[in-house]
Amino acid sequence: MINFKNVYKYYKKDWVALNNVNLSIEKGQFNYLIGRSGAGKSTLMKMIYMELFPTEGEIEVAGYNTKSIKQNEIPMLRRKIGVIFQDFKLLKDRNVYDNVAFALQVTGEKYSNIRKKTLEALAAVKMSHKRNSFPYQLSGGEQQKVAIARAIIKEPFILIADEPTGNVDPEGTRDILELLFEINTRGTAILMATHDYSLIKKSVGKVIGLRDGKLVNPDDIFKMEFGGQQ
Amino acid sequence: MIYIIQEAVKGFFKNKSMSFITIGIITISIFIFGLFIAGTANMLNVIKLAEDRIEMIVYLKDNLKAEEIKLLDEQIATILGVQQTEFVSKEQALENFKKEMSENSPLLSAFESNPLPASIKVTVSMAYKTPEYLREISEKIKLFSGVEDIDYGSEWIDDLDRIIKILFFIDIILGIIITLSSVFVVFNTIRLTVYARREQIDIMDLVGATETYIELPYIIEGIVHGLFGSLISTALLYSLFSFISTKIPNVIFLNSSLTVFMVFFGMILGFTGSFMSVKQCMNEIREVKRLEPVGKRKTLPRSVK
Repeated sequence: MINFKNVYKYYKKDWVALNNVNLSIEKGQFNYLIGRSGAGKSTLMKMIYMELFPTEGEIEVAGYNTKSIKQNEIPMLRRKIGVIFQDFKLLKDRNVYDNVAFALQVTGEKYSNIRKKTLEALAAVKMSHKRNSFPYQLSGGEQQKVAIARAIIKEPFILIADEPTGNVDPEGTRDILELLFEINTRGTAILMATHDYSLIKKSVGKVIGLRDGKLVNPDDIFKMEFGGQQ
Repeated sequence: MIYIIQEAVKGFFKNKSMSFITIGIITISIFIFGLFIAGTANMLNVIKLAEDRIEMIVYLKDNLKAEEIKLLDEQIATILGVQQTEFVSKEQALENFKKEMSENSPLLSAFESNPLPASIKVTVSMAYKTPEYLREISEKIKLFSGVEDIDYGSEWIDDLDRIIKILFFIDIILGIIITLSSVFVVFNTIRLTVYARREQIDIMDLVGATETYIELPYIIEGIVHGLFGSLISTALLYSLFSFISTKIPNVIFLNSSLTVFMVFFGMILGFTGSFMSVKQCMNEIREVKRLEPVGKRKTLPRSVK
């Protein structure tokens, strides 16, 4: 599904973001990506939807390879990948419905399908009742749910979540996590970056540890952060 | 496609003040450009009026026989660049002279006989009204027998030619400056409107919209802005010129094809402006993401603690 082969990424010449990363993410798997800020989590995620390319090595995603993908194939790849961010990235001048429908509108979805799919996605994240609200009228957790609806509306094979609960209160965090698990049970793989390790214990996913751009045993990270206690 | 048009229309009305500013800037740019074009058109008109007056008079020797004059006339008519010839007899010349002078001028009564020579008026085709060709033609005519003298205002034609050349030079330089500056100003204004919506472009890029989908709404909007701007400025120019023409005769407004050109120029301006802006904006968004993320600087080789 997703394969990192000896991936290095340098920003400028002496700035290593990823250092020989070998990694594979399987279909339907739930993955946590942990590490401090600056460990290379975002870089790794951006490489999956080919926002960034490796300096060395190669990545294979859903049949596309970073070495051979053409510029006009990147949009096609991104339609198979859902992405959410810490800052939600919603359009402030559109209401919830339009924000979710946006992903279909701009990818040439048939007009008649847009309404049905949008309402389905909103129902999936339990935000149907707020479809006419604007982002500024919603809490952080609610905004993230809308972002999730937008990310899953094209039925991606993987949902990439970069610190999805970073701007969300504890109650919202619980909702978001439940939602991610639910999406996962329907067959969508999840890759969630976080440095809130308390979120991890409750789940059964695979944990990927990243420190200074290198893959490390996640237990080492726990030990370092909590002085040996997990 | 529905989305693209919808988005273009929405963009137009959603950002009313930006649309207003863009149209305003395009209006001003096209207005200045139109002033320049109209100025050039009027300049060309004046030059044409001046060139129309260029004619060549071939004075004939006295006592030429009718056949000789006819032959000469025919010979002149065969020279390249000669459009038309017209024989003016001594009597006719005197008649014309009298007309110009007013009947009972004391000067006329001083003449006992007719002092004016017969002549052939030579009209030269427009394309040959340059100092070089006129000199060439006059030299050819001089070789014919029966020619006394030729007058085509050689001195002022050289002056006129020089003035026309200088005017053209200034005009072309001005034209380039005005065109470039309007492209620059319009480009920058449109760039502001595109940058105001860079978030949207960013998200479109993220969810897998193709470049056509991202760019087209902005480009359509740009063309529409250009169309409105050029229509308004054409209307303004038209009223300005109709006002001026009541004060100064011989002032002409743009003809219909130049008017169409102006409107077209406005649309081209809107198109290039928006096309370049949206391309640049997308490149910058992508560029920013490729820069190093916020965080500590790490150096190679590094050791794991």
